[in-house]
Amino acid sequence: MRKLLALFMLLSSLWGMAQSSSIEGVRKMYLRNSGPIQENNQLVGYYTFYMYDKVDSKTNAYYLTLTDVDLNTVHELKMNKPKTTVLVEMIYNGEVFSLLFMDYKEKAVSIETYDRKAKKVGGKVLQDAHKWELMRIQAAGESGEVNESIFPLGDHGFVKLLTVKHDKISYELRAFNNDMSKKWTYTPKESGMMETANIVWTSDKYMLVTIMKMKNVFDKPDHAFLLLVDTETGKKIFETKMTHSGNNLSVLNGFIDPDTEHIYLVGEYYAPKDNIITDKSMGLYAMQMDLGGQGVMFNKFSRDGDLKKLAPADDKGKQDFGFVFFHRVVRTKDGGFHLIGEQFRKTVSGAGVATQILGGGRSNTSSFSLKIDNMVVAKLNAALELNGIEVYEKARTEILMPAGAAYWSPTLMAHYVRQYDGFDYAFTITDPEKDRYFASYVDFDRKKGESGEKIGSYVGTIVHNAGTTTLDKLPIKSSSSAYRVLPGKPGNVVLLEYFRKEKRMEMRLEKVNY
Amino acid sequence: MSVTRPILALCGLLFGASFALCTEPVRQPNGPGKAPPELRAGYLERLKEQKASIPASLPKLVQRELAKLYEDRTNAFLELLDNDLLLFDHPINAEVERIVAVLLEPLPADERDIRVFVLRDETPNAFSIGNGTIMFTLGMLERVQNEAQIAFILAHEVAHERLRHAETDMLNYAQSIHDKEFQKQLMSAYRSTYNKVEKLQELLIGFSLDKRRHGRTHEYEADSTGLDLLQRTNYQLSAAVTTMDVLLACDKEYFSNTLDLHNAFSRTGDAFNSDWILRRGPSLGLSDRERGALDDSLKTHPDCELRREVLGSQVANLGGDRGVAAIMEAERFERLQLMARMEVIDLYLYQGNPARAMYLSLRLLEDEPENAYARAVVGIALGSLHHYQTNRVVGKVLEQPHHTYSDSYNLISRMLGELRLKDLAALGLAWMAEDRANGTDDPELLLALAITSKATGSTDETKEYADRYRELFPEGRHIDRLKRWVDAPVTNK
Repeated sequence: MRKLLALFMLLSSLWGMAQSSSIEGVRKMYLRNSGPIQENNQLVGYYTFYMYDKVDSKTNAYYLTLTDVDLNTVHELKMNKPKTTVLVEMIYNGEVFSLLFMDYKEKAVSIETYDRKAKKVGGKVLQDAHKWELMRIQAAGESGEVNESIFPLGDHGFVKLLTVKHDKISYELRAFNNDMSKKWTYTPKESGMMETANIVWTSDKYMLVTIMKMKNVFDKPDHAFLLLVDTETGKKIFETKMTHSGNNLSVLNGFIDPDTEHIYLVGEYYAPKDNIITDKSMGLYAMQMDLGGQGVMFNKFSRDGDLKKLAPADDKGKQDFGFVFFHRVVRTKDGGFHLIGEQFRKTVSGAGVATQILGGGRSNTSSFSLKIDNMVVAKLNAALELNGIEVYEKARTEILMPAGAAYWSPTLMAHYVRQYDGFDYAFTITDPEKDRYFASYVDFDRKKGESGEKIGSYVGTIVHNAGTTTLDKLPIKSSSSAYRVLPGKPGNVVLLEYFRKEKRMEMRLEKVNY
Repeated sequence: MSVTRPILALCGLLFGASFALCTEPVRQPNGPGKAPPELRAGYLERLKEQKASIPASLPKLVQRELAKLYEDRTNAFLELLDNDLLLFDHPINAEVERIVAVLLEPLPADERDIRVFVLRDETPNAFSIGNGTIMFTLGMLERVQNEAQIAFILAHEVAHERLRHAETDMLNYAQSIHDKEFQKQLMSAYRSTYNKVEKLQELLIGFSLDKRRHGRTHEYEADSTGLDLLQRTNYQLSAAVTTMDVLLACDKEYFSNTLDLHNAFSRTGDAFNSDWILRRGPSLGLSDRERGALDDSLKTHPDCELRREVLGSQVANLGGDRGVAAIMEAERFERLQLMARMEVIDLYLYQGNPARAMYLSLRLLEDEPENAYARAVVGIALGSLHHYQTNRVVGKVLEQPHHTYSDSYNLISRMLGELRLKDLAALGLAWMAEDRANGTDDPELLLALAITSKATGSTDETKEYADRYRELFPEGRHIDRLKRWVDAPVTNK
């Protein structure tokens, strides 16, 4: 009875301290049900979605808690949802929060919008979401980089990228007003091909989308397409094949400069007949394009020449740029670009081979794995010339590949790992003044220190400040059941911890030293 | 701690204390002081007596609950004691005890067994915990305008004690929580498969509303009885009414002006960078959490404006205002308030809130630019933040901006959040430059010089200042801080 009375008196479930935020009474939560909220590519706060009560055999009561960048709770919202619901994505466009839910039992995807006082503004169930859409959502990891499929269109709406099936699997861009009424829908013309899309960048005026076109699911496209859409009307401005002087181009990142209204793109270039998914790229490119889709400036940097020359030498004096998966491109104050990526390579896995042998060939894994190595920053100046490459050492992570991956190229494996959020890279936070950025990753260091102590995991942060780049290593000391590193306001990272036994979730800010 | 001593003897003693107060400048806080050795044993003895006094006629469960509540109360008090949150051996104690003695003097001797403690807390507050114990915070002393207001606040708390409100509340709580119907509802809610939390919350709200209803009635009773106590003294009756204005103002920022950080850090010259305060990234920008009608109904105290109205009528019924605002001199009152400000800074500095300690010190320097203690605290705060940040624990001690804090304090929090290790070191060095050049034997300045020197990596200077402190103050309060902040090796850099 004493325990019951204590429980009763302690039921006031929420409290917050200035340097940390704690929520009691969290009966069940997935770390993926919490994340950062961004507005105009700037971090503005965090959301946490967790179950606190059962309503009936099919329904749970959930709390959606919104906190600001200082971890102060600004709103709490109670909602009843089927118990098989997960909050997949959340964006904020300055006026409304848009929440993408998935009921994984009913296989239903829905979007709800709430205003700044957490009052519901609109809601819609997307009846025609294709099973690929559901697979994508289920596969999505806990990336600190938000926005996989919903993006803001200024403060008056947002766009949802949806996988649909017409004659063939394709995509749709559906723009909604803040109240979830239809704004426009962009449906590509039937091309007789399977089409998949990836939104690269949006604003209240334009949207950049990369598209892959394939004959069937086994086909590997040679090249990508770039689509520019007017977000006021939903009309296509242009769609262009991504090639240059015969080289096929992949798009890793891009944006439109609001002053010059020029498109900037960075990615990898491939030999004329090579496949951008399965083959090894020849190097990197940076490109400036006008709004008509015409190239203004193009520079490429060969892997075996320009990049190798600038790559730091290893212990044996060998310079090798290797394979790099670029996660983020940051525009610096001087007009240059920093490409933040991670080195990787395909190897035969001892564990994978053992599993294969023990499984008598019926294993779900292959004999191959992707080894993820050091962090890399490639620096370009405003004229898109390569200025330097910096490599930041970290412990190697090995990801076992699924059955059938034996014939995948390293790049395809990297895309697979990216989809499952298997890279160590976590997020990049830029300053509104663009003179600083903080690119963070989690390093699971298993080595021992000089005195034999275990080094353990830490958050590595590559800090670019006033023209110089440094590295900070913040040790992770957590006794929680699970933790996750989230972006913090510039100069900070946030550690989200869930203590299952105590039914408690905590978020705390830790400063980056630079 | 008893204030049942003859009032004249007490006044005689306090005359000496007040003389000292008027002549000695306030250089630094005293810190918590030492509690009388018999205090802990006395409270444990009282606990035994309270438990023994529980009526056997009460149901066993209620008896047990009451005994547990008495234990919790005693433990809460002892926790304050153990955490150095009570002030002892301090002129503030003497003055507050004197005022209580004046209030109790007209009462029969067997009704004077009331002890008042000064709580080292910035929050303006006073409360009775029952069992003849009253707490009065340093923050309350900072906010009041005169001695008569202190007298009314204490009279109000004495009234709670005389009316045995805390004891009644505890008995009511023990009986309500073990009421058969309530237990049935509680067990039913707890055993629910569905909506368990909601049902328990509903019960809690109903329970709290009932408790708060009683709480509000008690406040009106305490106001009325407190006014009755006040009218038996020579204190101004209108203080009861003006105290309500003070309480209303407690919800607002104490300092009326915005802190000018450029000016506050002008002594650091170029080491201060405007970017630190100009940088402000976007945030959700939502309005403060909206408080609904329920929140208001859960307040224990009725609205101060209503209380002011009722008290105004009661003063009029007593024949209008009379009496004096203060027995002590105005200068002495102001010095007490200054002491309270410094004790609050001391509390924050040594209980691990360098940002708040720095903010209040900068505020003190606005009023007293030559205050060496406040100057030292800013240096210590910068140095200790460098220590915490180097050891990767600054996230646990640095307060982040919050909508309930003042804009000025949020500005300081934001600024400290922006400072890198080298900024903290450079700012600390520049802040202490004058004292470094002039030399000092002041204990806080020596600590500030040692810790800011350590931040810059100057080993010789660090050792020089630390050794000087140990030589001059071998039993000083900062020996432990020197060990923790200056001697300790850097970890987790």
